[in-house]
Amino acid sequence: MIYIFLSFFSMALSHVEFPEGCLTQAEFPCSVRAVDQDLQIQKTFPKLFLQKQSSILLQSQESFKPLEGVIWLQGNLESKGDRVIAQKVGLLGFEFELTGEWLIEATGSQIKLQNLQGEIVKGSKSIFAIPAGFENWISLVNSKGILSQGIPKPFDTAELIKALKPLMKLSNMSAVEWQENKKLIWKVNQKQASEIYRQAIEQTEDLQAQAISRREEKIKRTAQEKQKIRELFRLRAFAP
Amino acid sequence: MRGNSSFFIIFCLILTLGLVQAYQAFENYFSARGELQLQQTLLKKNLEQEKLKTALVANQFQDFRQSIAQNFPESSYEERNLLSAIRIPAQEKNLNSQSLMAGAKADFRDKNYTSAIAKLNHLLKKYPASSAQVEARFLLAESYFLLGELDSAIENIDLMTARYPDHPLTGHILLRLGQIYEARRRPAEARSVYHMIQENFKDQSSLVLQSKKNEGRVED
Repeated sequence: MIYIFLSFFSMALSHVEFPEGCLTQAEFPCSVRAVDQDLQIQKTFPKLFLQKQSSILLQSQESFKPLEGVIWLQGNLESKGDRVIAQKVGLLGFEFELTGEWLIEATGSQIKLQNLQGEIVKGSKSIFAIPAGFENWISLVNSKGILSQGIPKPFDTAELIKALKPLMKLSNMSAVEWQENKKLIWKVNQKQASEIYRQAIEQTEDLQAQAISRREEKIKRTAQEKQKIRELFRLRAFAP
Repeated sequence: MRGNSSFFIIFCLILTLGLVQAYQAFENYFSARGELQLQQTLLKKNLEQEKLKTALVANQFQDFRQSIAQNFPESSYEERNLLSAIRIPAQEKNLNSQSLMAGAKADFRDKNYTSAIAKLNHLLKKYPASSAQVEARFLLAESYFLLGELDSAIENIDLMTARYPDHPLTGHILLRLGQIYEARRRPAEARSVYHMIQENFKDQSSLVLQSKKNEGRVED
C-alpha cells in the first residue's frame, strides 16, 4: 500500500510546457498542459485556472487561446486605474475580450462559454450576448460563413460547482460563499430568459442578413478581379 | 504513564516510517526499479508534451480552416467543403474525376460532342481541384468548336489563356482561335494569334510549324 502511494506520488506530474520552461520565465507564446493536478497560472492577468488534462496557449500576459479542457478565467469587473482589464481570448480564429469570471470548455471544434459574472467587451457582434448565469457554445463557421453557435441558456449550477470546486481549492475560495454571491445575479438574469431568446433570434436574423450581403459583395468583388485578370491575359496574349 | 506510552507509539511510528523509507531507498539503489520509475516519468512527460503539441497543431488547423472558410469566395457548398476540409483524400476525388474524364473522352472520340460537353462541364464544376482540369477545358473548347458553337468555344479558349497561359494545350487551342478569326474574316487578329503562338510556345516545334503554315495561308 505504502509502495503504491509512494510510487503514485513520485509519478505525479503537475504540468508540461512548450517550449520548455516558458511559463517559469514568462516567455510568450507559451503553451501549457495541466497533467495530473489542476493548475493555477500566476503569470497572467486576470488569473487563469486549468482543470487537469487541459491545455492552453498563452499569447501574452493578457491573451490566451483555450486548446482543450476546462479553463476558469477569474478576473473582476471593477476597473483598475482608468480601465477594466480584459483578457483577450482567441476562439476559433476570432478574438474576444472578456472581463469578469468565465468558465471556458474546449472540446474538439466546439467551445462552451459559461458566464459566471462577466462581460464580453469586444467581439460580441459575432456571438450572442451571454448574460451571467447563462452558457452558450460556438463552433466553426457554417456554410453561410457565420460562426456556428447555440442559443444562450441557463447553465446547470450543480454541474458547474462540481467542475469548479477543485479549482476553487487552488484559489483558497469558499465554494459555498462564492455560490451564494453569484446565485442572486444568476437568478435575476435567468428570469429574463424569454427576452434573451427573443434577442438571440433577432440577432441571428441580423447576422444572416449581414452574411448574405457580405457574400454578395464578395462575389461581386471576385468577379471584378477575375475580369481584370482576364483582361490582363487577353492583352498579354493578343497584343500585337 | 499515558504520556510515556503515546510517546512510545509515536516513536515506533516514526521508526517504522524511517525504516520503510530506508528500505525503499536501498531497494531503489540496488534494483532497477528506481531507474525504471525515472524512465516511466520521463516517458509520461514526453507523452504529455506530445499531447500538448497535438492540441496546438489541431488548433492551428482549426484556425486555418476558419480563415479559408471566411475568405474563400463562395460559389458552391461542395467547393467550400473541399477547401475548408482539405483533409479529404485526394485519391477519391481523382478517381471520380478521372472516370468522368474517360467517359467524356470516349464521347468525344465517338463524335458525340453534346454528351461530352455535359460530362466535361460537370467535371469542371464538381472537381475544381482535379488535375484533369486543363485537358477537360481543352476538350470542351474543341467540342464547342466542332459543334459550331463558336462563341462558347471562344469563351473557353479565353479561360484557358487566362488560367493556363503556358500550357501546350493552350497553344493548340489558340490554333483553333486563329481558325475562328479566319472563318469570321478577321485576318489581322488571326495573324496576331499565330504570331503569339510562335512567340510563346517556341519549345513546341509542331505548334510553331502549324501556326506558321496557318499564318501563311491567311488572306487579307
